[in-house]
Amino acid sequence: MRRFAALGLCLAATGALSGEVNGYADSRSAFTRARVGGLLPADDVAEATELVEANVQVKQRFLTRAFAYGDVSLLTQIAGTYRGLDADGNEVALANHDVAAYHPLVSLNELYLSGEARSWLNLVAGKKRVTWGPGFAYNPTDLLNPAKDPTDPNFQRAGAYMARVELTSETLALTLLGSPAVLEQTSGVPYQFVTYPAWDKKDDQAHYQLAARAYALVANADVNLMAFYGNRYRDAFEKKFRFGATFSRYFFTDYEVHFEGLFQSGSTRAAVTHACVEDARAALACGFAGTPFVSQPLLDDATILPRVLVGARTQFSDEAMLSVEYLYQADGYTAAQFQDLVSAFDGLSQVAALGVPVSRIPGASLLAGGPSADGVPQKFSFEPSRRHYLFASYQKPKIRDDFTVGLVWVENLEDLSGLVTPSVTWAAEEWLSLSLSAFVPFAGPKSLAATAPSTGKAVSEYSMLPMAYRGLFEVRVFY
Amino acid sequence: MERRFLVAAVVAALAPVLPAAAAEPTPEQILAKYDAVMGPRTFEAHSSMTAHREDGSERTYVMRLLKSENDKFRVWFDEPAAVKGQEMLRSGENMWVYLPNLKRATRVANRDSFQGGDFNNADVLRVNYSADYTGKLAPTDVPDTYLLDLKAKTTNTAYDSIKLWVKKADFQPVKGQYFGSSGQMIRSAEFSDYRELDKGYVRPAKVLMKNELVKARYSTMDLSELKLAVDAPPQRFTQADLGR
Repeated sequence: MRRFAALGLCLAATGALSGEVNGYADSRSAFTRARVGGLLPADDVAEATELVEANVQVKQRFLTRAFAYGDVSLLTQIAGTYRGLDADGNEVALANHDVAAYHPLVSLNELYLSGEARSWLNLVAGKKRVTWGPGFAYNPTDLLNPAKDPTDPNFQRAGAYMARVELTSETLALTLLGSPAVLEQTSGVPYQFVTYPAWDKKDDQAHYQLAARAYALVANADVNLMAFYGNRYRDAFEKKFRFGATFSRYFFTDYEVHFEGLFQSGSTRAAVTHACVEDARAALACGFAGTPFVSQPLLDDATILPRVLVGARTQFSDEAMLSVEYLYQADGYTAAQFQDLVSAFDGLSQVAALGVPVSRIPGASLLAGGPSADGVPQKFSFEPSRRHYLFASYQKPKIRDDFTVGLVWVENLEDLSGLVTPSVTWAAEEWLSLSLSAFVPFAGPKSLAATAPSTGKAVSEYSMLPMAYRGLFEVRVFY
Repeated sequence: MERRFLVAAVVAALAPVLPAAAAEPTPEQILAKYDAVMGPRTFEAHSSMTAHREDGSERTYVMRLLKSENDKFRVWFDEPAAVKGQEMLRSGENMWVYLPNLKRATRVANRDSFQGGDFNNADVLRVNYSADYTGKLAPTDVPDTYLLDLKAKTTNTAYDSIKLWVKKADFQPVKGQYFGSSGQMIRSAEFSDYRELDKGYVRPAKVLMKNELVKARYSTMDLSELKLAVDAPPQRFTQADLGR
């Protein structure tokens, strides 16, 4: 009888519900010219790729002020045409092979329950993208989400699993959240949080991030103060306190100015041991002695090493928008450290050419980067390694009504290498947009670049990318 | 003495009808009446904005509006699918747009275009002219109207000056001309379809905004429904509430 009552209640509730559904289907056809023979291996860079994404967003309201929300993308990719070098150093076509980055993927961008226990008290549980910083291209205070793509900040939709409590008044908000790290997942679907399972015990620690945020609307400015406490959450910091602050306000009517800063002691950035990469003999000596080629020397350093972004944005009378941002990160590589990095990659490419597994080199895994982003595959992955960067973005809409041209410029201000991304978007219908874009990394002047010891070639940050350029044609249908 | 008494008696006799002829409302009173018509203190409405473009095509945006007090405004976009989930908020001098793709709120300016049409954000979300403009009466060329010549009090407003024609009878707006800092007319508006949208509340349900810089372009804002007595809790007008 109880079961029937419960069933009846469920049916009654279902009848009372009215979900909102929307989303898009997206096709991205790309041609990437692999930088064969560069410092970073390009064997797994497919020159021709086709990515199809089906996205659905569902919002189901229930009770008075509660809802369930899901934003899920199913992605499948076709990739082919790989290039590499033969034994004589000539560029040749490689056989098609399996590359994990091109596997089908379910991206649970967001999936959460939200409810108002009181008008001033909001509760959230699930996966949600929460961003407190006003940075447009990059958010130094975002310790929770997969990194966004500075050439298309709208592109990354994925968030983090969390439980969040938020208290709000008209001009204040106080947020407390806890986020467990996803430690095991398959095809984008997580199945192990916080601690590693017994059959894959990488460590015995709990991996999590706690955060508190106070927001205030002060003198027509958005001000956020944040405190984080985390343990091995997306990086190697253990029991780590970090603090953040942001500011955003309009000045002189039309100019939005913002600041976003993260303040932490130490850094998880990997640094190459200089003594191991001076020459081949030094490398061999380190290898025999078991001295790590790469370590994290600032992991427990007490020095405060801030990451700060300042920027401004305006819309002109013709509705064109210009955004300019500057990023400073105190733990970025100096020119000497970057030279060591280049020497290490050069050495790794030599070792790999000899058939020695790179994984056998002590500390080499640190150069492979951080944990993979558990979100939608990105057009461009930005992991700033130096200290000073400039981002500029210009968009001019309404050209012949439906065309928007854009240009995004990412510039390393130390070696003056960068990436330029021109694009044209045609909103052909209210439900259809087509865009054509290019990603062109460029080298800085030789005088500011590092040198690859084996070849004597100048290497700057963006000339290290395993692609020479990429063209992308995207069709998006909204429903 | 008798003559003075006679004049006083005539004035006293005419007193009930004199104020209508003599007590011309001040510009401030007219502006307050206009604000009461176009931006009642609290309301919820459903509206659509259609942008007519140079090539003759059009784009329509469907939205829900919620206003509270004089300076709090929320907009939820329902159509088209490409903007569904977008929201806007005004609180005092501040405006934000919430973009579902970005999953967060970003500040926008009063003068920024409203969804790429010919209205700007302040035209829709900042309808309290008494707070933003000082006015004086000017000679009108439209019968039975007052012409208000409005000057911006600060640089935060959408326009530097406005010419606004309102009906003498009920202070309903008839048309407007909107000027930039150079003195050039950048927009002009025509108000029509005067309707009782809620009990005893009449206002123009249609506003046509012409782009005076690109003559082929114009936008219309149509109110399909409006309710005055609605619940508009303060939490709906906070940045934290965007996206919920």
